[in-house]
Amino acid sequence: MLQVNARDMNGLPFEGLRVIGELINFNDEPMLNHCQDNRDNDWLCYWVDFDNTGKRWLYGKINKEELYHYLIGSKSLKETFSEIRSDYVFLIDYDANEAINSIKIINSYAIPETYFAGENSFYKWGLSDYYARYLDSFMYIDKLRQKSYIVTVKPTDQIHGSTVSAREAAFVLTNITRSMEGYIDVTAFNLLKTRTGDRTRINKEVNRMKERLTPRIAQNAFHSFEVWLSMDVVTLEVEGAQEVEWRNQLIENYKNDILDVDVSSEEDGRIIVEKYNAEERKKIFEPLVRVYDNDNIAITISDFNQTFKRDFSRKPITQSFKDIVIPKPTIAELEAKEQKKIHLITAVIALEEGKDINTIRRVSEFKQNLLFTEENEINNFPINSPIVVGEKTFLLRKPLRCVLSIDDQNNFTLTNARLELNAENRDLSNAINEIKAQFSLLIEEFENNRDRADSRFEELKTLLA
Amino acid sequence: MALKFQHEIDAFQLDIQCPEGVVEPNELVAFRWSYTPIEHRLNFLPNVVFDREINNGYNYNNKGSQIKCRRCAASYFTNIENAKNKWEGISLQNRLNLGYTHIASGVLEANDGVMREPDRDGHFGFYESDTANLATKFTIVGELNVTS
Repeated sequence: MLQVNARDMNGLPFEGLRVIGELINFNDEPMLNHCQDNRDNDWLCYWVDFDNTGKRWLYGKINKEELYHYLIGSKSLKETFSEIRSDYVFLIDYDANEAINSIKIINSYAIPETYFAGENSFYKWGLSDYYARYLDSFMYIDKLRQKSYIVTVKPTDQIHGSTVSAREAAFVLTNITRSMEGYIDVTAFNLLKTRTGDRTRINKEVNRMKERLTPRIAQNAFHSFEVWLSMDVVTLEVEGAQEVEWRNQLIENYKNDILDVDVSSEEDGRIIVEKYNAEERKKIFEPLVRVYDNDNIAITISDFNQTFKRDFSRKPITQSFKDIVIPKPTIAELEAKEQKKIHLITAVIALEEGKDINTIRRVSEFKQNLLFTEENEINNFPINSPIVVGEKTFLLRKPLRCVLSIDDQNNFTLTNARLELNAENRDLSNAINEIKAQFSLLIEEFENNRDRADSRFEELKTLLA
Repeated sequence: MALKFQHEIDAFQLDIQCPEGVVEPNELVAFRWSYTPIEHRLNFLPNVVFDREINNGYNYNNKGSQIKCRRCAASYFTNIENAKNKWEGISLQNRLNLGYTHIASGVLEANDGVMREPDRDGHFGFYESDTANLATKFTIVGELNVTS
């Protein structure tokens, strides 16, 4: 038999080994057995060599996942041993009387090449009922993996190597989850409303589906950031033929309708608009657009079967696509957004006549003169006439009023919903200048399109002198 | 039907009818691992003889009558894929030890011998009749993987 550089052992590395399944035989003799020892460890025992003195067997301890992948035919016998996770394997020689002649231990990476099966040594008979029960937990995870979208995120700069920040990873996961849940929401609702007009029942069922189908992480890798996201259509129970079809097609449909889209193509954008109304597109696409639009990360999405792959760094989302797909916020939405503020306080301070507030330097003096404070939102921040931008001067009948807010990063935001003006800056004066610049451009647009029906123009007319 | 290797069966002094549960092939296209050329002395041998010829230290003393009887047959396959698949599952070392290099195919007829029912691997044992000349009925049709 082959001379192997191995270390002799005095005894067997296991006790109570019993054959669980004869997986392959050769001329009515076992060739590959699945065995268990008395600690319920799983072993693969493979006949690898013989001569006139007897036979040699290779014993490798495997975990259930390794056994599962061999038995479902996704890994060959050669791969199962060449990639075995155990650090050590054992060579046991039996003489012609089937008595043990020698026991040797070798590193698993040192298994002789000739002791492997052929490249195409795949198990072809599938899981028996016994193994289906024995390995059922891996069947579930494997089914999820096979229905996964593979999201890979890399940083656009390499200051921290290929690692992405936890914040960015969370950002990607959160927004993709929102998109997938939005898709479930939209498609499930549209399906169920044909069944019943009972909104409460519909909402309850949609919420149940969202909860059950919210993306699960089926696998991940830590180099850069790769995560396999899957919606658990495996265990979701639904009634009705159409609901069953909806569930069975959910993964494929989300891929086709939402992920496998050319975000640089106006044509693809128009197809999306035809299929989904504004509210639906907001739920499904707006979170994804946030991810695609993030300049700090390069993202690719594919699926388990490699039926598609989108690399959003090579073909980034275009403004025209966004303009088509993502509906502009309504005035009510903008105003609602504007109301989210951190504290702004109105303070009333008593000052001697003629004294300037800027003369108050000390906090103690400020407090001494403070009469009262009131928390309120400054929704009436005036930008007074005239508004000067470069060489242009615009006279207004009344101040241009904006909503002023400040966030927890101390960024000032000025907004005028009706004119669709919005500026953000850490310096309030810069934000004001930005608003003025936008105002100037709006007037230019108005002058070039006077006949166009535009609510902004109507508002503008009320301002201009 | 008189069998070519009846003496091997007789030497075991089996306490069972051997072979049993066999049928005559009916123009069955069969495949088997082979040496080349097809006339090689180690082709078409029953396993009990082949083991001796290649020094396979198989201990028949430890085996029951059924096993001994089955090993008095030669191994064949019902199609070339099954023949190749089975080969791939064997370690390269054992493939080198067995020494087969090719696949041969031919048509087995009723007067060539008797066969067992094929198993799930498409493998069956064949007991050759003493009048058969299988080397004239089989040809080499492909190579076996003996490198990886």
